[in-house]
Amino acid sequence: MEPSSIHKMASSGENKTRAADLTSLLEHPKYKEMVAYGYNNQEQGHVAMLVYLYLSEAKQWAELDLQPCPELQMVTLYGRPTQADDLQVLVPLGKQADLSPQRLRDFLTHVSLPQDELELEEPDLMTRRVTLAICDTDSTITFYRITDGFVPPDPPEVVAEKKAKKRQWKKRKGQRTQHQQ
Amino acid sequence: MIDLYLCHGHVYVWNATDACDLREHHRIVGTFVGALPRLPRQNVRLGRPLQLMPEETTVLLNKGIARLLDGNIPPKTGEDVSQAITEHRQQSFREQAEMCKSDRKRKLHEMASVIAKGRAAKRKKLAQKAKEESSSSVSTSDVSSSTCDQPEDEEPSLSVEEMKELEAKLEETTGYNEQAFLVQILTEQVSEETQDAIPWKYPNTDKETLRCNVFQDLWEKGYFLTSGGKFGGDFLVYPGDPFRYHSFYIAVCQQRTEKMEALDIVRLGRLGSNVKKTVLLCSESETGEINYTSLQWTGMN
Repeated sequence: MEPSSIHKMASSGENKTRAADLTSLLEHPKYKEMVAYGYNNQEQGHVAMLVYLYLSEAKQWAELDLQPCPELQMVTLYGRPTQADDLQVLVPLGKQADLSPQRLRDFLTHVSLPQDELELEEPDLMTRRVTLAICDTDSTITFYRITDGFVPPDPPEVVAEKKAKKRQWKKRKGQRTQHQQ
Repeated sequence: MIDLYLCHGHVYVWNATDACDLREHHRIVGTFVGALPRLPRQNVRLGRPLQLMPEETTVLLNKGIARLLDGNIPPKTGEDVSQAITEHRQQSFREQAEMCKSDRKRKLHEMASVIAKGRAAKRKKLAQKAKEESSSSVSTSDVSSSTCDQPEDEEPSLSVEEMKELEAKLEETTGYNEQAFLVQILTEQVSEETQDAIPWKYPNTDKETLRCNVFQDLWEKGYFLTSGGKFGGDFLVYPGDPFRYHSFYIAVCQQRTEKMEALDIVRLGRLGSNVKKTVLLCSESETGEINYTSLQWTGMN
């Protein structure tokens, strides 16, 4: 989307500051990089930018970068939340994005990890796995993982373990805030 | 060969052995829809007939495990039929009367000592009565008491003649009340008539074809499947018998090119994560094999 059109759209909502924010967003070096890929898909680029900012700023991912996907004419992201985590591939999508089962299969076949990374990873990553980052118009982002084949749900023990961890974490967080007070 | 009965568009299994066989050996679960004969006023537990999903029927017929018969043939009526049923019932009553008789005979033998005791007591009473009458004229109470005490020591028993007499009496009894007999309620036609298999007209649409193919593919992989209506999908996929396991997957069948929004992904994913199941998107590839795509919600921390 060209900066002028964004500007027009925002000003029609009578919000000058937001328009200014958007302009600054469009001047972000990563956005310029996306535009440089030359895909005729501005909306997806915009969504990708929001997801990029969310993961890098709000979630403080240890590693995050853009990756063009020429087969799908889309901008995708890859990265890992912490250095200990596995590398993930993300496909940013708008809420209204047109999908179909075939389209999901295309994501699984075409969206790949960066070449040099692929060699480093375990070969069982061949069961392709892609995370969809679905972005609402109010820039709420939800994440859904799609995987080729059958992925059984976590067994009850793992679920219980996760719950316990979460509880512990909450407790610790509570203690910390109390301490600060 | 298992008989399936098509009745008003639904397929039923009536035979109990067949229903067990389907579940235990063929991984076909179905749904019980009939009232239990002894508990007709509840619907928590249901009994035969077992209703099958169209996809289950299709698989069973494709694999040659079962055959489809017409379940709409009305029961036969007429003089001969009612005659036959009456005859059948009479026969059953006669058998029951016979059994009742032998049962009573057995009881008679069990109670022999009690009867003998009773009879002895009665005799003694009569003797005493007679004695009292005679003693009023002649007082020889000492002698009589000593003679009466003697037989009481030994166990009284019925003699062979007495027993025979009682048995003969029992034999003569005929007036059994028919209302006290059990009446057999028939759940299948008594007369065995050969029926020809009828054709099964399913699937008709692309959607139905896809559902059938997905069902058959998952079934061949060794899963148990039930209807997924409860969880907003097409099928629920169980790793084993649904009595023992929770389902792992909610299978959603969609044509390869069917349009969906990203919001549909959110809907399906959210649905699955709430019930701790994986949503399985099933579609057919161009070459006709079934592609499965697992969809799970994931939090980003």
